[in-house]
Amino acid sequence: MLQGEHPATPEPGAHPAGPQYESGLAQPVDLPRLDEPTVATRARRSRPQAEGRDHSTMPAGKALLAVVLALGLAMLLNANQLVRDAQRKPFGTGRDVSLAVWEPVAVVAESLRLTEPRRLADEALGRDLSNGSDAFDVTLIATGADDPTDTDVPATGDPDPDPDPDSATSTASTAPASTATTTTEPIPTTTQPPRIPTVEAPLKLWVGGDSMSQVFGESLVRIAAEYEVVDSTLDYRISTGLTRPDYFNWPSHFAEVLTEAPEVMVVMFGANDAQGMELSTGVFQPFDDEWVAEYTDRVHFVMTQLTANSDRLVLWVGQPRMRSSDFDTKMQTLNGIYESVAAGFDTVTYLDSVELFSNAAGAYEAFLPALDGQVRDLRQQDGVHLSRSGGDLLADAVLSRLGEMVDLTNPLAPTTTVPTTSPVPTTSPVAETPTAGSTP
Amino acid sequence: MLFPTLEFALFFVVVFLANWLLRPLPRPWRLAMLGASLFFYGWWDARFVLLLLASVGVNWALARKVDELHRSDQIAAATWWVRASVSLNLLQLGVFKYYGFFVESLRSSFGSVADSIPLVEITLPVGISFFTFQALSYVVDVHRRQIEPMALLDFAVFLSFFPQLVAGPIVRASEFAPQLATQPDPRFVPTSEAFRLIFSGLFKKVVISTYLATEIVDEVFTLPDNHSAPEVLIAVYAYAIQIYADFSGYTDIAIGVALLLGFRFPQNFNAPYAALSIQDFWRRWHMTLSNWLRDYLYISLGGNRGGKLLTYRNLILTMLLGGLWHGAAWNFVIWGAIHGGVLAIERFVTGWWRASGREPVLPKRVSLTLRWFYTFHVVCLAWVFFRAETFSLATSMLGRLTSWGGSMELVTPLLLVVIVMMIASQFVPAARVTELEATFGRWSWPAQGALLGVALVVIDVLGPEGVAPFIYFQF
Repeated sequence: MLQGEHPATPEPGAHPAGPQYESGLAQPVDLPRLDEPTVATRARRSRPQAEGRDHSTMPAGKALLAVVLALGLAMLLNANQLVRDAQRKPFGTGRDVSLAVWEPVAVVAESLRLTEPRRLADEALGRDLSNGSDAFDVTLIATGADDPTDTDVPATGDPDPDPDPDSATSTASTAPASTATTTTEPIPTTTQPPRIPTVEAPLKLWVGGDSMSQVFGESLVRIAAEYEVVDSTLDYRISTGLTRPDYFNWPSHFAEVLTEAPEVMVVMFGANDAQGMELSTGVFQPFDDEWVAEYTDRVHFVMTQLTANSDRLVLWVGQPRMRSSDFDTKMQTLNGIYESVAAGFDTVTYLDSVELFSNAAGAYEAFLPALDGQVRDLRQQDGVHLSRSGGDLLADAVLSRLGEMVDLTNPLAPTTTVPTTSPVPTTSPVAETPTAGSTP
Repeated sequence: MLFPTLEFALFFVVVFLANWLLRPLPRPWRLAMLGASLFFYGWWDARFVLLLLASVGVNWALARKVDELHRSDQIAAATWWVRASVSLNLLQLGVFKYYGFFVESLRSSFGSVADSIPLVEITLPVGISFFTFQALSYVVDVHRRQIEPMALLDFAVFLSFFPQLVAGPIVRASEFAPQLATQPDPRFVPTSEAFRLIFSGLFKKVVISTYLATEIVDEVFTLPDNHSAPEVLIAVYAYAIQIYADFSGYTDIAIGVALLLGFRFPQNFNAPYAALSIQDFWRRWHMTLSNWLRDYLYISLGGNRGGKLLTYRNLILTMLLGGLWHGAAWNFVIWGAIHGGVLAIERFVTGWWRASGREPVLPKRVSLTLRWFYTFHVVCLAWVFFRAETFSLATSMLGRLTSWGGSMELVTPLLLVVIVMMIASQFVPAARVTELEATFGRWSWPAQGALLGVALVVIDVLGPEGVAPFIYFQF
């Protein structure tokens, strides 16, 4: 089926044009010869034709009907998935139109039970078929006696009528499931001096978030491996964030991640979060007062979840400068939220990355000094994501900051210096690393 | 606009209808096709449409000038205009594709002396390498008197024709123009072949390529030091299959879509992993590029006309530049050097063996097996440099191969089955594929449509969420 992709010569009756139009150049010995029939070509030339009708062809009208039938049937069989895809779009006209189209199709398909095969196939493959909830589940926080949800007023959100009592991390809270908590009080943690990791018992580091953490996370894992006392795990999910748990629910995922007891978590969110949130109280558009309040609650919720009842260190990396000034403004607003919420936690450190990716005037610039001091392109073509050089730069800065909090030198190594690729600054903020704010 | 999307499906239904309704009306048909192609291209970035139209206008005018000079027997002047065209096209490629690489390299090499050269963020227009090569070959072919100059509208339709616009196959004016001049019979649309190409292409791209990338390739190539030798080895094999499935999948869809519109594009892949030598591989892999390099670069360099040493040099240079065509990075140059070097060595050894008059020492079956094994692994070795982000990551990959033992966590039975099946598919006789097409063709149109509808859902179920970009879009 996958062999002989396409014949070099046309089949009889299909189209008059063909190899006679090839260049007819003298063929050198070493490179391909178009005039030399391939196995596939020879087979086609000898293909028998049914008398009076070529079974490999069809009138254009019938071909169009076959194509339309195929697409129509696929839409019916796939109707629920199309609705799910539409629901995951950013709130707005496009999403409304998509839903207006696909929801009636899904109703028809379900009434005809045409959606069953797809549902069974998805179940067999272990896919999550739920449409998700655009709310955070407070039972995901393992809080115990200091459970912040005991005292916090639920913010906007959908009440969860059926909190999972069997959840491994549940505290059996009966509080209505809000999207997040509204507390501004620091959450008690069991802060202790960080242990000194060794080769035998390396520091368990988790890095993840949205697509911004892909390249940066890969760099972080690679550079961290040079310390020999860090065991890193990269876990990024493209197109995710904290505004659309119906698309990917990070708190639920974090509940699983925390069972592995990472000692340090490096997270990066925000690039997909400048979009609406739909709750039972309505749709909040980005950066409305209600939206900011809800998003702040969600950030607080995640920080609470990651730090509660542990001495885990959380490094929350802010978004870098963006090429689009409008998008950059949005990201800086989110950075402000991260920074202010992190200030309420003893073990959460907000790491500003803006200066690392800004020129002397404090504006976006793609070409800036990289780790080796050479001016390199630190960004991808979209003006959002980091290039490999940019990822290395940010990863190095994050590890330098981590090195100030945890002794990452390997006591058994021949030398006690950190890897040469990682100049550790003596000042704490990431933005104050030697390359910060430099100009080409 | 990506092929495996609902947007493209709806777009294509409209274009298909317009194509066959307007085909008897040459000018409206051309305007409709040009409009559809520009809409398809502008879906990525409307600014790119202006670049494409500029390329159409400039190359059409240059070819016309070259033709006029030929008609008045001013061959030398015509040659200069061709050189101007080549320079302009290469300049366009250079600015969009290689500027940053060269400036960074200059600054690294010459320090403050080169600091005054500005670094500018340049967005690479999708498909620029493909349509630039098509435009170049048009002007050269007019100069070589192999084709007549095309009318402006015809040339615009040719250069922008959406099925092959962004990732090939590289179609030449000599292949396209005659098909513009004739009207295909709407009673005989080669649907069996077209549907087979489109759906096998979708399956290869959406299911196979994505599965291999996410299961092992991306992780191992990013952090080779975290993986055992067996995982690294299987990741290299998996990448060989991934890039084949991705790229041949795209061109299968492109060729199938063009067939439904009444156009036959040249073959671009012919079971490349069944090759028995690197020379054979290049007769089967990205055939339209290798033909292009042969006709416009290898022959221009002198081909095999200057003796053995010059032939070796020309082979290596052609493949080095073929490597650079893929992108501005030393890894692509090394990829080209491996292919060029092995092509030269093969040519030397083959010549020496023939001259010696020796008989084969191994049974034919053993010899064929060994030749296949050698070819596949040389190709895989070169793919390591092609895929790895940096030279040091490529050498880390190769270095890990020497330390056996360790985890086999990523090497699952399903992964091995997919790799083996994909390699085995290269050896399926073409006659079997043809028989399958003929069987399918005997079904009524409703039966064919129903089967295709189910196939679409199966591909969607087995594929990932969203659509991963095609690897060759970046080239």
